Amino acid sequence: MISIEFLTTIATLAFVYAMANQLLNIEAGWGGMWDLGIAGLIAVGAYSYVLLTTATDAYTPGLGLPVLVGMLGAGVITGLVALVIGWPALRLRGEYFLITTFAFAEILRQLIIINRDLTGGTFGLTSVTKPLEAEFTFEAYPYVRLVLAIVLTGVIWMICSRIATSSYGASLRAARDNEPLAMAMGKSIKTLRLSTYAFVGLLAGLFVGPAYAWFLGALVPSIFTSSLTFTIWAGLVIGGIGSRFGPILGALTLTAVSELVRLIEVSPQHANWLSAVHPLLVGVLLIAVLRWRPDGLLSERATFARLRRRYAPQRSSTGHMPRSHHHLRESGYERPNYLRLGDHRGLQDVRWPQGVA
Amino acid sequence: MFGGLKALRDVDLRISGTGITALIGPNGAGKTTLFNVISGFGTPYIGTIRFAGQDLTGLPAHRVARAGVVRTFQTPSGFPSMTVAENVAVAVAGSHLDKPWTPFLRWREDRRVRAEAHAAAWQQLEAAGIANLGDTSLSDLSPGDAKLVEILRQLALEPRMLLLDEPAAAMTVNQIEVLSGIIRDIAANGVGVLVIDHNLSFVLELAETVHVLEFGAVMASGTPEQISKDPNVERIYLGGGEESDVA
Amino acid sequence: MKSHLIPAAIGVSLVLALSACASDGESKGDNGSSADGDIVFGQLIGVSGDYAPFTPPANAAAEIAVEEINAAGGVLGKQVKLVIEDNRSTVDGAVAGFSKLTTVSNITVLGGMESDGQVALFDQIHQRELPNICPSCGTTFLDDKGGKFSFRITASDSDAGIIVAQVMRDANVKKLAMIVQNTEGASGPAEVAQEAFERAGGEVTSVSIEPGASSYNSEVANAFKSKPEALYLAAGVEAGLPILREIDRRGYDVPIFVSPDLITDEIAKVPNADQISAALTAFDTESPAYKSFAERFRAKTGGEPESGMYDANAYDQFIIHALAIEAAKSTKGADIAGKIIDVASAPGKKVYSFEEGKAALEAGEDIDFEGASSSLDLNEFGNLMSPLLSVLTIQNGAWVPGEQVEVDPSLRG
Repeated sequence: MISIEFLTTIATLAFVYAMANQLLNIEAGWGGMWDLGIAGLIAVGAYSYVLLTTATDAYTPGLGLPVLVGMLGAGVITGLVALVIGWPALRLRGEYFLITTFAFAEILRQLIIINRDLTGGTFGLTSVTKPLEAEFTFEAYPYVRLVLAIVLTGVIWMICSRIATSSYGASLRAARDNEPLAMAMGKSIKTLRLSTYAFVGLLAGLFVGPAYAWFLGALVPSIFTSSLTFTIWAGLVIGGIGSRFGPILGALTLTAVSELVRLIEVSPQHANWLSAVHPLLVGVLLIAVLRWRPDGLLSERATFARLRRRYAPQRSSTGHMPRSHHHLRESGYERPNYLRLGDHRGLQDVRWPQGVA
Repeated sequence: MFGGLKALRDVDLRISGTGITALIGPNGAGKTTLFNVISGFGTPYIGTIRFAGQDLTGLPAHRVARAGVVRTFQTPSGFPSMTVAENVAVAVAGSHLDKPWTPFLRWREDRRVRAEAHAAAWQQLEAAGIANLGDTSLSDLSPGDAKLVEILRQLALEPRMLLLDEPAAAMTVNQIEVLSGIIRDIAANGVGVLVIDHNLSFVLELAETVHVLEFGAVMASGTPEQISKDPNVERIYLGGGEESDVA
Repeated sequence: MKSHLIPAAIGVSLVLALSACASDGESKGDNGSSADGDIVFGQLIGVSGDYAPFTPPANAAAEIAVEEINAAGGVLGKQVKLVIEDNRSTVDGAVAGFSKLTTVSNITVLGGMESDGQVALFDQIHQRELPNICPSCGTTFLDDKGGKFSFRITASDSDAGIIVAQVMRDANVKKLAMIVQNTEGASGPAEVAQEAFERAGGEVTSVSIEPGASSYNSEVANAFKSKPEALYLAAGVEAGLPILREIDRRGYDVPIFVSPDLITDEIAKVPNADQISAALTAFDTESPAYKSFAERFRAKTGGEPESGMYDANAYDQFIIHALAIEAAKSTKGADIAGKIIDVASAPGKKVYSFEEGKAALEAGEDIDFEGASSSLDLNEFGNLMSPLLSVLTIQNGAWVPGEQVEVDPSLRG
C-alpha cells in the first residue's frame, strides 16, 4: 500500500535536502571547505525566516513580513552570520576548519536555546508562514509545497550550473586543488573562500532554511543538531562530491531509502527491528557507493568533462592574440612582448619525452 | 625560520629585473627560505624585499604575484582536476572575476573572458608544441610535460619577474637542455628570471649572474666564470661531498 | 543543453511514478478505517534516536491496551489494529511518519509523540481533524492550545513550577528564595513557580546562575540575604552540586526543594541531604486500573511500570481513544475528539477498564475512566486538571518516594 500524499511528503523532504546538498557542494565540493556546520547556517536561515514572517501577535512574536521579504531577510542575515563565522574559521586549514564550523553550529544552536524571548528556546517557534497556503486547501497544499521545493531546487541548480562554468567556479576549484599555486597565481584564497562561505550562507537563508521550515511546520533547536549536517554530507557523498547533478541525486536516493522503509508493514512487536533496518540500509548504501563508485553515483570528473564538451574550447588557429585580461594590465604595467615560446626551435622540434624521470 | 633556527641571516641581494640570475647553494643553505620570502610564502622578521621600487615585504603571496613576481613550484602538480588547457586558461583569465556574484552580475563579461582565456591558452599550448595535450587531465601528464605546463601556466600570468624553483630537478640531460632554451627565451622576451637550483652545471651554463648561499648568507656573487673559479664554491660543492647531483 | 533536461526528466518520472503508485486517495478526510475494515490506532514515537530508551515500555503498554480492547470485542464491533511508526526522535521524522500514518495506514486516532513532534504537527492534526492524545508531552505549548483535537494525559512542564509553589504554600513558607539556572528546562518552571507562589501571597527572591561557573558563592549569599524560610534550586547537577555544598558550608539549614534534574545519586550523597526534597510525576499504584495494567505489563515485559517512562500513560491514551469512539458511535475525527474529555473526566460512572466502560456506554451511562496513570480528569484545554506527583526525600543517601500530591489547579494562572 502506498499513497501519493505520502510520497509527496517525502519527495518534499528529499528536495529540501537536495537544495542543502547543492550548497554544501559549492563550498565543500568545489571550494574544498569541509564544513561540518551547515546545519547551523540552515538553522539561522530557518529561524530568521520564521521570525521575520510570523505574525506580531503570535506566541513568540515575529515581524509579520511577507514571505518573499522574509526569505530575502533570512538570506542576508544568514550571509552575515556566515561572514562572522568564516572570518576566524577560514584562517584555519583542513581539519581545524572542520572542527571550528562544527563547534560554531553547536554554539548557534545553544544561542537559539538561550535566547528564549527571541527564539522560543527549546519550546521553539510553533507557527510557520507558508507561501500560498491560504490559496489552497490543506489537502492540496502538500502538492503545492512539493512544487515549490522542486522549483527552488531548480533555482539552486541553475545557480550551481552557472558557477560551474564561470571563472569564479574555476578559481574555486583551483584553490581547492592546489592552494599554494593558486596564491602564487595572484588569487586571494581568503577572500575567495570567505565570500564563498558567505554566499552559501546567503543561499541557505534564502532558500533552504525557509523551505525546511515550510516542511517542518515548527522549529525547535533539536532539529539542527549535527545529525542534519551528517545527513546532508551523506547525501552529497552518495550523489558525488563536486558533480553538478550528484547532490540532487544523492538527496533523492538517500531520502527514498530512508523514508520508503516506512512502507514495510510490520507488527508492533517488530517496530524496533524495522527502525534498525533504516540506518542499516543507509549504511549499506554508503558502503556500496564508496566501494563501487568511490566518487559517488555521479562524479566531478564526468560533470566537467561534459561541460567541457558542451562549451568546446575555441582553439584559435589565427595568429591573432586575444586581449589580455590579466590584472597586471590594469596596474599599468607594460609587458615587453608576448612570449612566443614556440619560436624556440628546440620546443617545436623536440617532443618532451613522455614518462621520463 | 625552521624549527627555531634562523634560515636566513645576512642576505643582501640585488637581482636584475632582466636576464637570468641564479641562486645556488647546498641543501639547507636557505635557498628555499629566501625564495619563499621573496614570493610571499614567508615573512622576514627583519629586512625588506623591494621590487621595481615597490616594497613587497610581508605582502601575502597573491599580492606579490599581482605585483608581477611570479613563482613556479618544484613539484609541478598544478590543478589536477583540470585539463592542461584549463590550467593555463585559469592563469590567463586572471583573478578579477573571482567573486561569487560575478557569474550572475557580470555573466557576459565572464563568458567572454573565459572564451578568450581558453583561446589564448590553446594558442600558448600550440606555440609550445603541446596542443595535443590540451585536453589531457593534468594528473595524467608525464613529469616532463607537467614541468613545461607549470612554466607555461605561470608565464600566462605575464610576470615581470619569474622565479623558478629547482626547474631542473628530476630531469634528464636532454630535458635540461630544452629547459635551458625555454628559460633563455623567456629572458629574451624581457622577463627577469631567478632560478634556484643545486645543479651547478645547469646553473653555470644558463645564468648571467650567480649568487651562492651558505648558512643563510650570501657567500659569493658573480658571473658563472667567477663563481666556477671561486675556491669557496669548490669547497662546498666538491669538498663537502654533500651534493650528489652535480652533472 | 541536453543535461538541462535531466531535472525535467526526473520531475516527469517522479510525477509518473507518483500517479502510478497512487492508491485510494479518497480515503483521506474522514479518517476512515483501513481497507480490511479494522480501526487503526497510530503510535508515532521515537523507536530510534534520542527517545529510543523510552519507547519499548510505551509500545508494550500500547499493545496491552489494544489487546484489552480487542478481547472485549473491539470498538464499534471492529478489531483494532495498532501501527507503530518511528519518528526517529526528530521533527522531520515526525512529519514523515505522520504523513505515512495518515495517508498510508489511514489511522483513526493518534497516540505516542514527544513534545517536538507534537508542536510541529499540531496544525496538521487540527486540519485533518485527527483525535490525538499525547501521553508524554511536557510542552507548555499545549497548556492553553489543547482540548480540540490534541489532548495530554501527563503533567505539563509548568506543573513542575506549580508543585513548587504548592509544596511551599502547604509548608506555610512565606519567604522563598530561588536559585535558577539560566536554561530553558530550569527557568521555565521557576518562572511559573514564582508567579504561582506570589499569587498565593508569598514573597520570592530569585537569583539566576549560569552553568559552568567556577564558584557560586556570591549567588548563594545573595539568595540567602533576605533570610528566606526555604529555597528552590532549579539547576543541572553540574551547578547544583557546588551550590548545595556551599549552602552546607555556610550552614543555612532551611528546607531545599530541587528541580527534577537534581534527583540523582550524587545529590543524594551531599552532607545536607536531609534538607532536600523534590517532586516527580507518579502513578497511583493503589488504583484498580493501575493494578490490572501493572500485572499485564509485568507479564509482557518482565519489568515494573515506571512513571518516568510514561508506560501507563501510553496504555491509558488508547483506552480513552477506544472509549471515545464507542461514545461517539463514529469513526469521524471530530466526533471522537468531542468525546475524549467526556469519557475521561467526571462526572460519570467511574470505570477502570475498556470492557467496563464499553458496557456502561452501551447501557447509556455517562462514564469517567479512571486510568492506570491517573484519574485522567481533563480540563477544557485537554490537560490533566490535577496531575499526580510524588514528593521525594533523601534517606540514607538514596531518594525515597514519599507522599503523593495532586497539583492544585487553583494555583494555575
